[in-house]
Amino acid sequence: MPPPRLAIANARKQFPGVLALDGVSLELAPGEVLAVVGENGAGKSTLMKIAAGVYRRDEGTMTLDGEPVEFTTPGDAIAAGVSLIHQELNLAENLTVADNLFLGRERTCGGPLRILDKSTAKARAAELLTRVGLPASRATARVETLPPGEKQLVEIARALGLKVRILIMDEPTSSLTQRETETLYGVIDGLKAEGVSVLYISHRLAEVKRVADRVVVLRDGRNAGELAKHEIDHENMVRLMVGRDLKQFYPKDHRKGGGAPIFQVRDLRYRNGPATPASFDVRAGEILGMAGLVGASRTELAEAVFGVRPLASGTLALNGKALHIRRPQDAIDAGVFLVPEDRRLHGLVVPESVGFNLSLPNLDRLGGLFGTRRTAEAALHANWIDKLRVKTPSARQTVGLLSGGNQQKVVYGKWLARGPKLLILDEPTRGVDVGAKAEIYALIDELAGNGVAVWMITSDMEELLGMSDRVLVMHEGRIAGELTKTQLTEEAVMRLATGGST
Amino acid sequence: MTRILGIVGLVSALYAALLLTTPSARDVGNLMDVANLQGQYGIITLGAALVIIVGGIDLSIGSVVGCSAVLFGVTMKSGVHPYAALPLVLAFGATVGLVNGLLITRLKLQAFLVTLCGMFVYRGLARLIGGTVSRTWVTDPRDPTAHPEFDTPIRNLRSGLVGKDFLGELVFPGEFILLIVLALVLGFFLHRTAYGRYWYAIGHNELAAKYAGVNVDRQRVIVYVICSTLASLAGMLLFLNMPSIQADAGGSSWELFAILGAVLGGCSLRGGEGTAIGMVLGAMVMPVVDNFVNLNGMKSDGIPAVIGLTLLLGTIIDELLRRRNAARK
Amino acid sequence: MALRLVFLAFTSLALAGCGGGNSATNAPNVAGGERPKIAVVTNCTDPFWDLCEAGANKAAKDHNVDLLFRQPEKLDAAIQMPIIEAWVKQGVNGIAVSVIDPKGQEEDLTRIAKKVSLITMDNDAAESTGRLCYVGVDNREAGRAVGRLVKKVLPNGGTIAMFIGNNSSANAIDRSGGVLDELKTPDADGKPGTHPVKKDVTGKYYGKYFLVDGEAKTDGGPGEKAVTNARDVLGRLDGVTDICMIGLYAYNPPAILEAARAKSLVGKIKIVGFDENLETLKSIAAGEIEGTVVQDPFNYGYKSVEILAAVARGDKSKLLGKGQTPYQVITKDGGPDQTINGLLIKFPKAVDFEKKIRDDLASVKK
Repeated sequence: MPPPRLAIANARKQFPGVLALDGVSLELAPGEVLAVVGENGAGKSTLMKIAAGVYRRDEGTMTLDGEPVEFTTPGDAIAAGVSLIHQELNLAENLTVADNLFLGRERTCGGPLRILDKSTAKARAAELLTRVGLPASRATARVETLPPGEKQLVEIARALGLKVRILIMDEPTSSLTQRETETLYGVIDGLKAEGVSVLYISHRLAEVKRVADRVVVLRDGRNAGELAKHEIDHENMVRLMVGRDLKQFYPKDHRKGGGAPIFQVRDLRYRNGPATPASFDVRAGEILGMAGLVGASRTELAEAVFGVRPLASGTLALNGKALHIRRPQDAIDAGVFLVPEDRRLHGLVVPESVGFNLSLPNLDRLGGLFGTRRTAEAALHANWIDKLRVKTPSARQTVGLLSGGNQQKVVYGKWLARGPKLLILDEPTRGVDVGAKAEIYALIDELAGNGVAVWMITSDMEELLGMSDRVLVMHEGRIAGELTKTQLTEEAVMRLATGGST
Repeated sequence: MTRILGIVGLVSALYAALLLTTPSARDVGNLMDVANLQGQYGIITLGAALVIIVGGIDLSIGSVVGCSAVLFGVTMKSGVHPYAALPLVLAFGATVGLVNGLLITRLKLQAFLVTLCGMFVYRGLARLIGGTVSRTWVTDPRDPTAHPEFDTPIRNLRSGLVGKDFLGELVFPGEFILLIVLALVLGFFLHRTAYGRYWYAIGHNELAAKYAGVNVDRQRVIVYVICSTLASLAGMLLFLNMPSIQADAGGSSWELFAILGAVLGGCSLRGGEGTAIGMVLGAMVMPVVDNFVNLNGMKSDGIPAVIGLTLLLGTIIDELLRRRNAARK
Repeated sequence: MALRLVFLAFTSLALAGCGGGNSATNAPNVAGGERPKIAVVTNCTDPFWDLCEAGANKAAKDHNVDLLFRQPEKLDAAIQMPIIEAWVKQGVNGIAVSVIDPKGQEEDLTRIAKKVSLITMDNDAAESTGRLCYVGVDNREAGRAVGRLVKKVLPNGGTIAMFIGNNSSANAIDRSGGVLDELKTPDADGKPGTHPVKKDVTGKYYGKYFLVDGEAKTDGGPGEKAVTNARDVLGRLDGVTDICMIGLYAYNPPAILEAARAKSLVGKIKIVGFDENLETLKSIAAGEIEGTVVQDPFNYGYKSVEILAAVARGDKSKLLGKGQTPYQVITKDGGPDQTINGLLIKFPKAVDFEKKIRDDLASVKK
């Protein structure tokens, strides 16, 4: 029997204040797709980065095809045939696709002058792009002009261009459409057939079920268990990840069914937006799901309503009264709040404390004659940290040090403190671990139960089907159709999202 | 390409304004003076732009210019032949860049801080090693410690690099030609070799370059070395070109002219953007404005404001042009 | 080879460019009715130069001249030279320069003097450059005028102290030397000794005068040190009568006055100054300072433009010889003009002179 492609034993990694890995072991066979799952903070990413030479482990051993290896830089790992497709997009967006595909290993002539051989690069790029389902003409496009899904595919194509023995994919589908995801599955199958081993990290358990030959579950920096191919299902994975059963993942305890439409959008168009105007209602106490492929302009529509993008025409009304929104402040004053897609970019001041972030939109109500009222502020912090069960040592903790789920809760806390009427959620649980997801779903359900209108934009099909009372599907900038609770199936959503009809 | 369009327009407009409103500016000698000044600022603009492309900043350029000019004079005064002093001073510049680069990459210090400190250190060094230096100070036959025999080699260097004849009359814009040659070399590396790819990638997304296996630190150091070496070359040109150099004033605030030229030429301070031709064009702006105010006898007190407003106007037009182009796409 | 071709091409271009226009010499180059174009460049930006600019403006009006006046941002020959070069290319008829580095700029000025009528002001360059003349006071002569003021306020001798920025620059050496030249006698020509009353204070005797510490006290430029220097000397001379404090750089007289106020010695000691600091002039009018010797930068500007305009029209009679720029002596009551060493010296009243300066400044700020 050949030695395992990769064997990591007793890996430990200490970061200042956090023990990220506490003796994790893992074996990967040639041609195997091994999924590594676990809540955020379980140590998956750290483990992958150690395997890819980004971090160095403090203790433990690592062998590659039986040979002990020691990587000090990503370059070492790449040279040994271990390549990482990172969770955050790691492309130089100012360069072309072809430049990115060969960055760091350009074909050059002229010796130390390293003059680029552009024609060879172009041919090779075309070949790689075809493999991931992209047209060869993309090779000369600047990466910044591509939609997020295609960027992700470019990253995958880049890894394919390396002589890989192990390909590590960290949340590779987070920005892919359904069709692109299928292409990715095809690519993975092809790699398997060539004997390449794949380490696959994902929060999307359905995906794991589809691609993985075996699952390793991590919890709190330790091995929590392993599932063979036939054991892989949703329940088993969640049980191992959180260490307990989740009674109800998608709660509907509080909702009493849709009330009157309280928020009305009529013939809305915004600057540089699609030509087709958008009209729809959100009802009090309902969760309106909004589905669509990447590039369907869902986020842009939400931003227009929230006052980030200037409106070109159309009207907005809340509780029957016309709303004039020219900037986010107008929306906030009216009780319309947006929890943005990228919380680290738009939702939080990452280097500041939990309390700082909670207070930020509420300073007008905390302000006294001589600055902020300390006691009122402390009460606000304590109230929302408690209510949302934010896992933080104190309100003074830097928000960037919390896990993704807890960061997301702080973003909710910012707005809930102001008593929302309409809450716009853009990808409410992206990058959030399973445990925190359940808590966030419970929170959203409770809000809707209290009469808040919730407009939830999501690309996570399970989340869409599980949480929505009603769904709007967008296709290329227009609302392609509406699905009621009874009509709501994955097929129906995909048909509308790809331009079909109901 | 759209970024180039803006600066091409700005430079053309400024030249048109200068030549149309000021007949005396049409004199060939005057235009050569302007070109030489463009070369003088352009050489350091190349370095500053390169540093900006990799996402850094170098505030020590002006001080390195001044310090190199003084060092060049002091070295020759101490008896080193001018032809030997030139590479020595270039080596000094390279060393400064190496120190800057290592502090920034190894100790992970902020480039702004490191080079701001460098700005004070090298200015101070210039004042320590010499007060006022000049060609005459090096070669004065009346001074027993001077070296009159260096007079001819220094004048040869001046003829070749600056373009001034033995009497000091500018006969061809040597510094501008030097700028074009250097820009061609730099443009070759920037646009045709793997190094250029690395610099753009590092400036836009350092992690992307790192994960692609690029030795980011080494590339950064190389860029700082190039920048400071160009600054020391500019310092020596200043020495050759100018009647005298004061240690406390020579090249002071040139780093800002260099950064300004780079940004006007299309380098984004966020890194990852910029072209060699843009850098040259960007560096051409200031001297034209300068010539305009010199020839029109503007009141001294109004000049800084006029220069600042012209440049601001240029930036605004450039930005508007780019936005229109982006919208059309 | 290719480079040489380029060189040749540019050389011929340049020659072609120069050939037509300004083959400037010292010959008259303006026709009768035409306005000559005259340019003046200072060494840096300073209120002193604002007065000079006012003078230049007035001369430009009086003599029908187009004037270019520049105060460069920094005291740096590398900033000054390109301004001058641009003017030369532009074909101005005459240029006046306050030279920054006489030695370093010598070569370029020599070249420029061959094309354009060039004069120096305030700070001279070597005569070999071919500059037509130098407009500026002889600091030694002006120092002697200060010495005469000292003699006037302390006719029976006494204790003197001198204050200045440094003892190394040419104008400082000449100025303080001039004062002592005026005071010394053959038998007391810098003879070292101790103070007749305060035995712990050493110095040198110049005639009937004892110079504290034997040389001018230096302070390195405007600032706190100028005041503390004066205060220290006053402290050491506590109880001594017949003291005269001499401030030789523009900021020194006000600094001395400040120290005297702190010791309640205003009116009890004599103060003599140099330059036309407005504070100094006000204090002279108030009787707190005895007098000051001024260079009169207004006159520098006026004379420079006047001379260059005349030269441009072919008249070289206005050129000044060495030491032909007059200084002025300002006292509270003023006095009649006198001819000293062949120069007509004015003795204006402090109030009148201050008003003139304020008017000059206002005229240039407009």
